[in-house]
Amino acid sequence: MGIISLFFRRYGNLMLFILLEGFCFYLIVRYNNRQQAILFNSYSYFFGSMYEQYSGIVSFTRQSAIADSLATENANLIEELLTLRNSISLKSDTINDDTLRQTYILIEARVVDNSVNRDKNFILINKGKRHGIMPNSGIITRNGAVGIIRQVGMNYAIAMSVLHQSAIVNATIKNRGYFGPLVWKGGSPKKMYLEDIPMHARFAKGDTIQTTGYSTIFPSGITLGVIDTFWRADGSYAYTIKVDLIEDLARLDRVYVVNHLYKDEISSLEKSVKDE
Amino acid sequence: MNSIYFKNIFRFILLVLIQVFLLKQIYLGEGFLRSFYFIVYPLFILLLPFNIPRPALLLLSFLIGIIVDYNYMSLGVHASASVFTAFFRQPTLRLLEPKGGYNLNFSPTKARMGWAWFTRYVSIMMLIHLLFYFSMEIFTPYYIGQVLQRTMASFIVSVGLIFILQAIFNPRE
Repeated sequence: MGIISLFFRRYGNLMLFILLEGFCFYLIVRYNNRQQAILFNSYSYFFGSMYEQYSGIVSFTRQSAIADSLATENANLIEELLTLRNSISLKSDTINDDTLRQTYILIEARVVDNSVNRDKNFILINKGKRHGIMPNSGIITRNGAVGIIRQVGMNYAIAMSVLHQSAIVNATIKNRGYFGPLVWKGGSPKKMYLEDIPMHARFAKGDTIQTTGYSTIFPSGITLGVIDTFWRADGSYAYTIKVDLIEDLARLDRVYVVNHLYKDEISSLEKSVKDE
Repeated sequence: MNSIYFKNIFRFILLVLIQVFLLKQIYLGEGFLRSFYFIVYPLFILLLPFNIPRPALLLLSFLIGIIVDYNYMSLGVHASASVFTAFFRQPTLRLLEPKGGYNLNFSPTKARMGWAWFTRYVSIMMLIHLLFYFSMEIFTPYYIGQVLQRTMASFIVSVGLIFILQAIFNPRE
């Protein structure tokens, strides 16, 4: 008993101090967004880098196993390629399984009218209903996504350019997986902004930005641009990334309209769960 | 005896009112001017009597901090700095102890201890308070430059205000 009371007389104040500070610290990270975000970020950074090192060691020790499995995979792929070549040389009406199912049809078109210097830019192309163009199809080139078809006439169609304040392209950082909306905020037709990239994402200047394929508008993996700079607003949980577009939208000529063959099926599926 | 209680309660209320109704509203501008925070409520912690029991000192500091926090919408930030300041009051007083020691019935006011002693006391305590406060507010060592900048900027205006308050009211206890 004497020891306990002595202990409290000696360390009681220190304990009260630590207790109060601990409580304050809890309040700070519980009720202040900024501090909470910083704590969460450093926590994930610390454990993220630890995990990275760990997986680096593991993958190093597994090199030969991985090489073996890649070799087998290669063999399988060569095998598959040969069978496919075989089946392609067969008459097309004898193929009735799903392996060769085509998802997209590309329709070549030329840009007839185009603008880049307004807040809302549109592209007019020389293909219409007669050629199989449908609304809400994406327009792409070899170097990027260009627009989304809005109105379809018999011989022409008009598309909302990606340089339109309300156009959104779902984009992802290549090989990193994080995705977000790529939007244009006016100004230069060579700059767009990728938003809502979570703050624990790791990426670097110069990384490639490409489409996700999460919608039926653009196929996945179309290169859009490279990361120029990125930043995070005070207190925000997400990065905004400034992207240098590869395609020069001011000089569009030949484009491809992408028709997703199962667009109706997908949208009716999406509609059916929306009601739930 | 009662008058010491009364005076400290009155000071508590007055400083909280000054802090949240006057100083909180001051807006100097953007950029570097945002570094100036006017913080005077720690004066309550500084002026509590010499002989106050330390647990009471810590709890009262927590109380004034959390009330200020509640008005600043920054729950815990001011309170943690206040508790920290309160904890370092004793060591600071020991550091500044004059040859004859303190009269434990007094409070560490300008009127009792003189300008020279009071200036050193306020400077050390406010530096501790502001440094800890901005560390908690910015919360990352990455912006240590910001912490120091805000501490120095706010130190000048806050200590200046505390001197003005002491000169006006000149409390003995």
